[in-house]
Amino acid sequence: MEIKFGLISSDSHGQLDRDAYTIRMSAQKWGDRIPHVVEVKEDKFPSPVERWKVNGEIQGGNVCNCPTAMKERGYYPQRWEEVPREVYDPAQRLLALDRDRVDAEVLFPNGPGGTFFYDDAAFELDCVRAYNDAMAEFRRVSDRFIPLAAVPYMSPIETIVEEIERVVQAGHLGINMLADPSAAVKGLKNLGDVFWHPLWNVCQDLGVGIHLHASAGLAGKLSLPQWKGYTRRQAHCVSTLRNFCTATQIVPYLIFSGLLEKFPRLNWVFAETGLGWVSSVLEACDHEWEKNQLWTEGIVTRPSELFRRQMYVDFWFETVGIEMRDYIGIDRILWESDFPHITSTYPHSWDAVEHSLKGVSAADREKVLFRNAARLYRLD
Amino acid sequence: MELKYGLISADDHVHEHPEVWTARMSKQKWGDLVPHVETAADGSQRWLVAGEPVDLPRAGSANEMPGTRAQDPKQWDEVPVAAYNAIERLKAMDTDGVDYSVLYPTMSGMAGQRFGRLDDSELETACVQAYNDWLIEEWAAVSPRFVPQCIVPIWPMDRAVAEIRRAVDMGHKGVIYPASPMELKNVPHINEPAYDPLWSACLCWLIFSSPRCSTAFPI
Repeated sequence: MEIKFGLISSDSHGQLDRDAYTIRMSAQKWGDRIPHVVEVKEDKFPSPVERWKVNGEIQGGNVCNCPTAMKERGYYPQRWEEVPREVYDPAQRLLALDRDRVDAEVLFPNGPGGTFFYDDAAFELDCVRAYNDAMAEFRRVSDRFIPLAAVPYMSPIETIVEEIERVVQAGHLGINMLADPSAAVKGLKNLGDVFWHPLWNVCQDLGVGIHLHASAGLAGKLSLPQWKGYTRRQAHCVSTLRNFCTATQIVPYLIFSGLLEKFPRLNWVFAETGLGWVSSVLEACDHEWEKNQLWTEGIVTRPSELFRRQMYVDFWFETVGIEMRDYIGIDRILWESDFPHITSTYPHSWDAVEHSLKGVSAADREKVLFRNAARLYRLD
Repeated sequence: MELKYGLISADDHVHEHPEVWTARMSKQKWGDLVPHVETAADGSQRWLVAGEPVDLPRAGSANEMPGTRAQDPKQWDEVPVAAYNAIERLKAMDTDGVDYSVLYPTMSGMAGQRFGRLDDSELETACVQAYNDWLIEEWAAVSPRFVPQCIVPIWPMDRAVAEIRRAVDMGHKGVIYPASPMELKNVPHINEPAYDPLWSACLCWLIFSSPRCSTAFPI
């Protein structure tokens, strides 16, 4: 891949077109259960709006979460025709990348795509296959897109492994997972469980990392009860800042499970979690590791070294966290734009870059802006 | 204030010994609800708090015990004396070169939340008062190097405020309160003005008394 601007976003959100699932899933088999966009009446809107409908259930949120791609920044489209093509059409989306002077972007889901939990493993599997196929199309249009695969959690592990092998062949360069599937659906296994070992083996061998985005499904479980007295924007700040605090728990959770020792070439990527917390968590992990003598229980490598060997974190606005770059590990830091979500730096990403990286050497800048990502995703 | 080493620990923990509550609460009134240590047939021991079993606290979590950190006590006689006895604790502080030690609980909950889970507010208050009395009688009275902090009944506010005043009058220098009381029982969210009497009580003490008072929110 040609690097023209010197900037790769390691966390952006790829929206699928409204017919992405209907053209890929059997209408005869699934009928109205297939994810699609429908018109509905909502009390707070005078005229009909559009929402995604999956498995017969109207999905919460807007028809597309793309407030930074709108002419009026911050506006959430209520009907599909309001959604800019730059959000869901890969050929058009390249124009948005050029405008922001970003070379490539890692695609997490937007709207239906992360999980499909509807008490039906066969339906989940078909949805996941359709999602993964549709996202692979982005990469067929341009190698500037780096798609991440969804996982059919409710299938047997052999099926899960088969799907991941299939989609990596089709162009996916990582997989996007929940930090604890057992907290999402009863009967699923915790990531520390041996159930997942075949998947870790395959991902390690294929060189694709496991991606945990924001709270990776644990915001509800790892949060204080929300206070009703917050204004809408206060509540948004409180809930969005949980993404920094949930990862502080997931890093020790993974490190002390022994997974990184068992699978020493498997990468773990924390997206949209920021990095200011990393140094304090690593120092605390090292301290507890020493005081509890955990080398006697299978964690023979110092936690901060495990992190610098196998974990990555993203940033997009921070300055203090960047000051900690040597301790965190300059090779473990990635930049992200989060396009087209509300926190995104788009279309002024380079202003954000300069703000964060003031005084950082040219070599370090290149690492966090594109070289680390190019290595992680093997973008030769 | 005399400083010998020039080091104050702002967060240490006492271990409540088996007689903290049995020696201070009425057996006649509360019977087996009084927190006490029970011995099982195999000789292992555990706390019973209003009938609820609680494992013995980890010795390694409260005391500097090189070489034995991984071993949890199964019986009280395995718990190091410095964990629950003030005289021995002073020796441990001298070994570590620490002048003063701010005291937080262990079995009562790091935030004093153990009794906040009880439905009976009167029982909660009786348990809390026994802890606060013990901290004065067996720690603060032994040496000024111990900085006692009281726990409080989390609700209702008049009980919480009354206990703070009682405890501060006895010599407590800080208040420990759980950060999320609404997860312990059906009480308002911690951000609600309903808690203003609690903050006011702490603030009044801060302004009008010479030893400083603060509210601590340990997890």
